[in-house]
Amino acid sequence: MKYIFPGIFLFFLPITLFAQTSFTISGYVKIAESGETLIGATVAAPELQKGTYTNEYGFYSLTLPASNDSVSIRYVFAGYASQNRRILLNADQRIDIGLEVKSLDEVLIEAESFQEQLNSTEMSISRISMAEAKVLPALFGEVDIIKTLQLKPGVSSGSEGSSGIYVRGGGPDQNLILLDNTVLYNPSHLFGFFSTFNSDAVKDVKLYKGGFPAQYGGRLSSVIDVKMNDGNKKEFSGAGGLGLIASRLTLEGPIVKDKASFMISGRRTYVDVFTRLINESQQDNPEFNNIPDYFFYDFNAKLNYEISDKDQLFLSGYFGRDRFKFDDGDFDFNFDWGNSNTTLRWNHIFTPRLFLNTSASYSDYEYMISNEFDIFSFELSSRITDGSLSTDFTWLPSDKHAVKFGAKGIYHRFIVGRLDAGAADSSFQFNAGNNYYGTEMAAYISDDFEVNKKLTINTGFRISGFASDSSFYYGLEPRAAIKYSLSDKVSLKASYARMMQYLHLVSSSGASLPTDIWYPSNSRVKPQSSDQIAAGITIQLGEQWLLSNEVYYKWLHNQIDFRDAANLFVNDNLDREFVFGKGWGYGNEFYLEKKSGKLTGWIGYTLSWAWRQFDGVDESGEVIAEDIINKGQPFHPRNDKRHDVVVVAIYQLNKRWSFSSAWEFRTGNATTLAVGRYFSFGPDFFNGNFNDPNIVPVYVDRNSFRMPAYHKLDVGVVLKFFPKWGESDLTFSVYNAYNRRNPYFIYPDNVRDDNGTIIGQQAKQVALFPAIPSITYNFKF
Amino acid sequence: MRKLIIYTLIILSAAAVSCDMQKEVDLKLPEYESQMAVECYLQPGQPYILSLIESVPYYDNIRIKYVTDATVTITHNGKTITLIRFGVPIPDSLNELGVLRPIIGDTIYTYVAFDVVPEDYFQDFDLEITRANGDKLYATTQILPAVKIDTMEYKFNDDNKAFVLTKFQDDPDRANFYRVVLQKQNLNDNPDQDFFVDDDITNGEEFNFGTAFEYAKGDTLIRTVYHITEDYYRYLETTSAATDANYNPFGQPATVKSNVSGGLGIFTGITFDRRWLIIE
Repeated sequence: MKYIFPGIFLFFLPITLFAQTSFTISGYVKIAESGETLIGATVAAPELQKGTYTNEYGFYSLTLPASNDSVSIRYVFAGYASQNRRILLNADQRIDIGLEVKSLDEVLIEAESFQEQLNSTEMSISRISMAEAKVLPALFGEVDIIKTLQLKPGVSSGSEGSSGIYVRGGGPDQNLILLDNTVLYNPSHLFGFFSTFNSDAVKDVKLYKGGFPAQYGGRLSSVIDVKMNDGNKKEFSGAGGLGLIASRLTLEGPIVKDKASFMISGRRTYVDVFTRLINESQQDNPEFNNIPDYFFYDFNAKLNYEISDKDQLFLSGYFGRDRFKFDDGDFDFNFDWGNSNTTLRWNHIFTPRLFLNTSASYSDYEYMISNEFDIFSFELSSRITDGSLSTDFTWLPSDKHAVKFGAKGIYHRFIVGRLDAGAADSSFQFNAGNNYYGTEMAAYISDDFEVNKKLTINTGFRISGFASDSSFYYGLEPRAAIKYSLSDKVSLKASYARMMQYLHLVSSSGASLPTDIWYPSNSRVKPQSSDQIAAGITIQLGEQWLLSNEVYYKWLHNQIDFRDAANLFVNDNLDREFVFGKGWGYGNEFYLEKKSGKLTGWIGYTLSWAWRQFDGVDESGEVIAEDIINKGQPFHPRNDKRHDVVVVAIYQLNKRWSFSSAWEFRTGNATTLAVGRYFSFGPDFFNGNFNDPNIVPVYVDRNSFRMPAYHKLDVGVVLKFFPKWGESDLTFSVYNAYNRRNPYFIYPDNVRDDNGTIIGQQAKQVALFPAIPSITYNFKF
Repeated sequence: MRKLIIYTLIILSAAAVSCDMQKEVDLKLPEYESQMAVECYLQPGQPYILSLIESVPYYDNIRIKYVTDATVTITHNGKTITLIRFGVPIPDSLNELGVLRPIIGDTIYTYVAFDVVPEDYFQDFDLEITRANGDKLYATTQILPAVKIDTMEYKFNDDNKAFVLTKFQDDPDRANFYRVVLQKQNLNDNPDQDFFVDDDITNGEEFNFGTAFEYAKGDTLIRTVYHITEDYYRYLETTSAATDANYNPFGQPATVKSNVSGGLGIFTGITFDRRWLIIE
């Protein structure tokens, strides 16, 4: 092990030899109107056939061979008017560029828009443009970036309307969700129906499904990297919306023009306002049961300060809460949950070729259920709190190499199943729950090496470790990616990535519930790991279309499930409920995208298989009967979907009108249904006390039944207005436009005769959402 | 928690209900091979009584299929007792069986031996069942001593509603499992409470079981604390999870853990302490 790091640095040493005969153009690419940085903008020198892209902080660095002739540098970002700068390559130069929003009449075809997809070694990526997300139809009119991601190949939700994410056959806990570099542990509101991201506060969303760059780790199946808006540095502005269930408002502006800015954004649902009025109006009605209060809200805020042209400071935060309350006078029940996140980030440009991002962050997720009746009280809570420090360097020693290296440390504190119950008169008191602590650390290095015009190789290596109580685990995580350009419009890519995961989500529901608990690896619970290989082809078709096709195979090790009837709530020995197994998945993802013109959109088709196996065989080869699921045979997880087709179309008729639609077809969820039954009477029955017998269902194979296929069409229309003070629109949408009754679950219902006597059982299928029209008013100034 | 989620689903799908979001479906389920399902609770001082039926495909006829061709023996302390098939016709006077009659028919069939189950704790009882076709079923259990209810009391709040508190002491020297039931008015009623608990995090401590303030003057409450075997506890736990998952989209279907080999069900010893309380 001790020879690995010197070996890596020796591998990178030759790259310094290139550094003498070239100069570097570097700087930030921003939106001209607001000073907001642009992520993934193309910066190219077409005459030299060289190019690069701005990083996640909007910074670029392009090293070009020295020349006495002037060279044209082109800056391109989809939706913005591109710019050219002619420069003399006789010294390193700092060029910050502001791109202007493209006028709607201007339908320029930017071939460079596809350069990142064609030329980067990165693959298995889905990116969402916020403009697209906002125009697509949404459930109850609430724009949801996670649900937009679910329209991309290889990504699915657990169930209808859910903001859960399942990527390439992985589990819902295997996604690293980052909001401005800090981990968001529960990305959903309202039991998973809405995500925690307020679309007005979000700048960029990038999803990695495979080929993970070495700077990412800690989860097996995906990385969702969400960046918040920095705030308008030029002028005060705002945006907001009034929807059916929620309203939102974002304000941003300069604190010191061009130097410092702020952004603050808030959102709140208001169904509770109406339910309270109903409750009050029914106060005197003894037959009326109070409707519980429910609402959620979230705040995003960000400050940024450009200390100098080499230093920038950012302070960003997120705070969100869901509150559920039921109080009928005698019984007071409260259920609160939410995330709190803060990041302080410092960007520093050491040299045009060396960029630093260092951040300190705090992340917290907790839920608390409390109820009181008379003198008795009960509180159940769980919580995970992180403090982390990370530093990331981007070093471009020559025009052939882009080196990234850095390190990260996270201190975790877990409060698991804390229960406090008691009576005010001390007649009884009961406490349970555990605190755990863990330290996660990682260091990485990677090099993107352009061997020649056609071939680029990315090699990376990450080492990670986790210390908790008396156990310590470490993992070596090699990463590799290769890109070979068959022509300037066709490239082949392949990648391999190993990932380690030291935290596990305790959730038996298959849905994203607030009571899901994060649990650390320990002497009994080993880290999860995965290996994934992927290969693909990317083809630019004409000037407007991009086609990509990828195949992948993923192996999942030390997968966790729960023994039958596991008690996941109040249990001081929670890990005794875990069983361990393995998983694997494979598939093909086809994606055809049209990025420019009046008609834009994409067609995605995924053919995939996902498997799990819990055969009870431990490391020593012994079979532990308690750990066997499905008789030890492989089975599909619920989210296994053989076919997944998505067609998204957005048509911009003119300045005022745009239309959108999204059609989805997905194989039905795998589910377990009872195939047999018997009656159980209980002990009192035989003593002559004839209470009703229970039907005991008999399940045979796990997830062996398929729900009917899921398909629906959402349609939307946006009508824009251009008042003097800014811009506004009315967004109409219809979720599930042809009113498909997509099955949510199937249950057995009693069949009764005319006298009400039960004479049999009949399967019934329940759908959740019919056609739901909605309207949202949005504005910005 | 599950009720909470279901409540939310109900709110969310309020429109859905009015749009008739449920429909009947015909499922193509895999072939299901029937098995013997046994249920026997050995209670000291009571005769041996055993229910033996067949499990059936889920959407089959509701009527119970009694197993009538079995030889049933229980062996304890070297003595083997044979249980005989026993049918009890249901008299029309038992109106409360109106709901049950389509399920159990006009006659309840059990296997019975009128020998009394001995008060012999922590000793094995072995069950063996053989059908005419040669199918066999085995199980072993023990009987545990009853645990005494120390206190059962009630207290009124300002609205003249009472809550009821029951206390009993756990034995710290062994792992214990309990089923705690509360019924109102009479033992034929479905329970207001039916919990099964272990002493994993309360070993050796006093157990307290309370209710909400929901009882009024004149109510009769019956609290039963069963001291149960771990096998029966696992059976109850998994039966409850399996039943829940049948109706709850968030439930994880569980395979019922049975101590019966060669079939389904439960063979267990059971003892209990029971208190009656009239709220005055």
